[in-house]
Amino acid sequence: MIGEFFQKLGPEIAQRTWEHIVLVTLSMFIAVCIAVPLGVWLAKSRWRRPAAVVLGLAGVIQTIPSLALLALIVVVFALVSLPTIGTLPAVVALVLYALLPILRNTYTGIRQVDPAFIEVATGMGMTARHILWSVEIPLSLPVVMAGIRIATVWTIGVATLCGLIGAGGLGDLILKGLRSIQLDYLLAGTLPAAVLALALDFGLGRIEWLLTAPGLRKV
Amino acid sequence: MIRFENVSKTFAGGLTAVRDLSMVVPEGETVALLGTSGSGKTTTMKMVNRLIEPTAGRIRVGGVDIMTQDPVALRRTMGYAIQHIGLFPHMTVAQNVAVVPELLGWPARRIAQRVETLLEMVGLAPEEFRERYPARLSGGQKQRVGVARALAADPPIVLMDEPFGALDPITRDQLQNEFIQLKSKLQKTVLFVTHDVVEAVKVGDHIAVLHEGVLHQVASPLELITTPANAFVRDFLGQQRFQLSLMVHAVSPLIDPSGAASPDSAASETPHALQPADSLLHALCTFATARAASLPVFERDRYRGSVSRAAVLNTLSNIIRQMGDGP
Repeated sequence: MIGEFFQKLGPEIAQRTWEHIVLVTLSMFIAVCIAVPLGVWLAKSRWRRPAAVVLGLAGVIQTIPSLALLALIVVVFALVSLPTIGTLPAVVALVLYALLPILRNTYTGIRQVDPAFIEVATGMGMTARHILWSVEIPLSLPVVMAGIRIATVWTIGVATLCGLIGAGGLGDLILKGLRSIQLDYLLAGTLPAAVLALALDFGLGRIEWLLTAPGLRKV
Repeated sequence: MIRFENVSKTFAGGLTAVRDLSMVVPEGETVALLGTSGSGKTTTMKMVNRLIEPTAGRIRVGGVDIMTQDPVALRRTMGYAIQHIGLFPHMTVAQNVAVVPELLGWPARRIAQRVETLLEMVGLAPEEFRERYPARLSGGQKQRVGVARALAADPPIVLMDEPFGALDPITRDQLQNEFIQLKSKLQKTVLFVTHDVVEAVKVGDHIAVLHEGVLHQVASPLELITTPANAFVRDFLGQQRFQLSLMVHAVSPLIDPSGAASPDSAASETPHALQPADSLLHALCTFATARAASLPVFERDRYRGSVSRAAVLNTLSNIIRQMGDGP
């Protein structure tokens, strides 16, 4: 039975899983590129106001149900005549959704570095740039990585919705199963998504461990 | 040499932490900044490396006004050691010690050699400790690394903010003794912040007593104990004044050169020998364990005479009498 299942759906599972991975990786890459520098800048900024505004805004995005956010983007894209189906609107939605956890963890990660370390580093003659790269970033890295891991697991889940706007991915299989009330399609979409979430979380955990200075490792 | 000229610091909130402070930390000597918390002692120290900038007055290091210097370059010429959390937890012992040499761009070979020398100097075997992380060091070992790091680039000036404050009394005593040996060997100009009178008396060539931002007295330990400048200093020394007196008086005036013929054995072989610079406290402790009526005194290996228990006890009663008559 299992053999039959794979014979029938195997190539499609592989195809959709690959699309899913591309969607998630691309979105996460963009989200990290935006959120980590922004979080560092907000944490280091002399003014408190921008941090409150940006974190508040990202928080608001997070409260919008993922399905509604996707619909909203499609509508907005339609208004400005950008493509409303395919990868572009999907990636924009996923990036917006992934921003908050990364942004918030980067911000708090940098802010939670004990000010005594900053002071002793300054007292020894480090410049602000030295302090950022060799004290603040290494010390906040575990917190930043935790944010990236949370965002990745969420994005894998939310990305299944992108099947609705023709961006492909495992959501396609789930939708097919839903429309035709077929359990095998439903499982063919759900199981790889779950496995993917576990695998990426584990992989990122290893990366986090490798990047963390041995003196800070918990295990 | 560090010279404070009418230095004041008023924080943005209006709190004046230091008020019109003038004093000198002479070249190659250690000045202990002594005071309770909130006395302005740490503020005074942080003004020297410009972590805090004075609102009035001038600080000169080696004759040059520090406000005319680049703060980053200035700090790299001064060692800096602080209480317990000073070490970076994500760096190994070697990396922690190497921070300032790295900033100064020393070649890797020279840094490695310097780390080796310093770890040996503070009593940590390099091959055992070089690659360790601070989390795997005891409190005493961390402070040793902290001292090594402050000395890393061989700075002429060293600033220390309660470097032994977080240690148990036995380890603290041991590190203080090693520090005294080290500084007499290295000839650094040291500003040493402490709230502990006993520590100040032990490590300081001079002691500066601060209270509520005002400098009350700068004096040698002996002078401070025997002639406190005012009621505040006297109260601050308080209960410990008798113990401190025993620490600051040396046995040298009590030596009786005719007391005994030169003994046949050398200093190293005499179990209960004294040095002329030893304190009365040390002499009393030695008498307590030796149970002798007099003890030989050696200067290095040369026999200088003997000190009798009666002479020590007589001095004690004089000290007690003087303290009763004090200001």
